[in-house]
Amino acid sequence: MNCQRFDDIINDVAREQIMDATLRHEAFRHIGECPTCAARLNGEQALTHQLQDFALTTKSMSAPERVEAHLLEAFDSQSLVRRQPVRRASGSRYWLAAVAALVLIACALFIARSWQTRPPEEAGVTNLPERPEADRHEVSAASSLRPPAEKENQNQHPTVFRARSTRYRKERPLSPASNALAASLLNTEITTDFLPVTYGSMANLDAGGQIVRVELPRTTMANFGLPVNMERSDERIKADVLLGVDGLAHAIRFVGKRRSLDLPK
Amino acid sequence: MKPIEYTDSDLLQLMLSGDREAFAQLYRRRQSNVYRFALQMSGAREVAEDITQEVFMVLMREAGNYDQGRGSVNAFLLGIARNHVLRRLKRERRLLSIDEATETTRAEEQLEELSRREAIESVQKAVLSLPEHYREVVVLCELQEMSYAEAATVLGCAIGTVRSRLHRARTMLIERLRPTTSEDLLNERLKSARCFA
Repeated sequence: MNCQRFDDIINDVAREQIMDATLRHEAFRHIGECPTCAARLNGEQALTHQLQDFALTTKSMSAPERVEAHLLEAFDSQSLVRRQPVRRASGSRYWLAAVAALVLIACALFIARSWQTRPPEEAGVTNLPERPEADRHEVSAASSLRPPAEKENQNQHPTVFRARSTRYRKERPLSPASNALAASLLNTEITTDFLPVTYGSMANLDAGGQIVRVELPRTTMANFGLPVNMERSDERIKADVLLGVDGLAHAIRFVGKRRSLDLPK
Repeated sequence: MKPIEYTDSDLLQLMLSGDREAFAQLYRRRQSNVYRFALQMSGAREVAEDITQEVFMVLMREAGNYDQGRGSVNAFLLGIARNHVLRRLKRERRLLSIDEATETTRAEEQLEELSRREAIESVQKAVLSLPEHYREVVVLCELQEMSYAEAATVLGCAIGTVRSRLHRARTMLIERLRPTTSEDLLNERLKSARCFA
C-alpha cells in the first residue's frame, strides 16, 4: 500500500469502521513503514477521541419538556379541526341551487338557439363600431391558409372577427368606418398568420367556426417555429385559436402589441 | 405482559389516524436526535429548541409525505431538521457558542475536568466554524454516529459525497485544532518565551 491509497482509508481506520481485514492489515503494515502516515493516523485518532468526547457531552441532551407540551397541544387542536364534521347544506338550499342551475342552463340554451337562427346581418360583424375595444382583429382566419392570389384579393376587403368566443362567419366587406377602425387597431396589434395546429383538413372551417382568444406562455411560439425572445420567455402572449364546428382547434395565430411580439419586423 | 413495541413507521401511521399517544411516543423516541443535531449544528440551545418544535410540527402536517422506501423516520426527521437549521443559519448568520449553564458550573469543576471541558469547547468551536455542508456530515457521522448511507439519506446526496466531505471536514478540524495540541502549544509557548527573552 502506498501513501495515497492509505489516505483514502485513513478515516475508516481512525474511526474504527468495519472494513476488509486484508485492507486493514495492509494499512497497519504501511504505517509501520511510513512515519508520516503514522503521524497522520495519530492525529486522526486523536480527533476521533475528541469528537467522541464532545458527542458524549451532548448525548443526554434533549428538548425541554415545554416543547412536548406545546406539540401535544398543537396535535390536539389539529385533531379537533380534523374531526370537525363537514357542514352539509340544508335540503332547501340544495333544491334552490338545483333550480337556479336549471334556469341558467335553460337561459343559455335559449340564447344559443336564438343566436344560431338570427340572420347573418344581425349576428355578424356589423355591430363592430359599437365595440371599440382592441379585441377585434383584421385578417381572416382562412386567409392565411389560402393561396396567395386569393389572399391579395382579400386584403382589399378586410374581414373582422369578433374576439373571445365569437362565431366565425363568412367574410363580408366592411363599411368605411369599420375599415378605419380596423386600420387603427392594426396599429396597436400585430398578428402572425394562422398556423395549422393539426394535420386535419381545413375544409371543416367552411361550415363555420369560432375564434377564441387565449393566453399562452410565450415559449409556445417556439413550438410553431417562431422565434422567441428568451429574456421575455416567462411572459405570456395572447393568441387566437380557430376552432372548427367539430370543436377541435384547427389553427392558431399569435397576437401581440406592436414591438411585443418576437417576430421579425 | 410485555407492552407492544411499535416501530417508528407504525407510530407514524397511528399518528396519521389521530392517535395522540403514538405521536407522543414517537416524539419521545426521536426528539433528542433532532434536538442534538440542531444544537450541534447551531451551537445554541434556543435554536435547537425552536427547531425541534418546528420539525415535529412539520411532521404533524406532512407525515403523509413520508416514504418508507426512501429512508427511516429518523432520517426523515433529521432531513427536515437540516432544512430548518440551514434556513435559520442563513437568516441569522451567527453562531451562539457556549451556554450559560456550562459557564456557571465551570467554576466548580476540578482542574482536570476544566481542561477536558476546554478541549471539548474547542472541538465544539472548531465544528461550528466549519462550512455548513462539512459541519453536517461531521454532526451526522461523528456525533450522531450515523453510517455513511444513513447520512447520505438525510443529506440527499451520494454516499461517496458523504465520504469525501467527511474526509475534508476532518482534515479541516485537525488543522483548526492543531494549535491546541500539546506539541504545538509547547512550540507556541517556546516562541513567545523567545520573544520575551
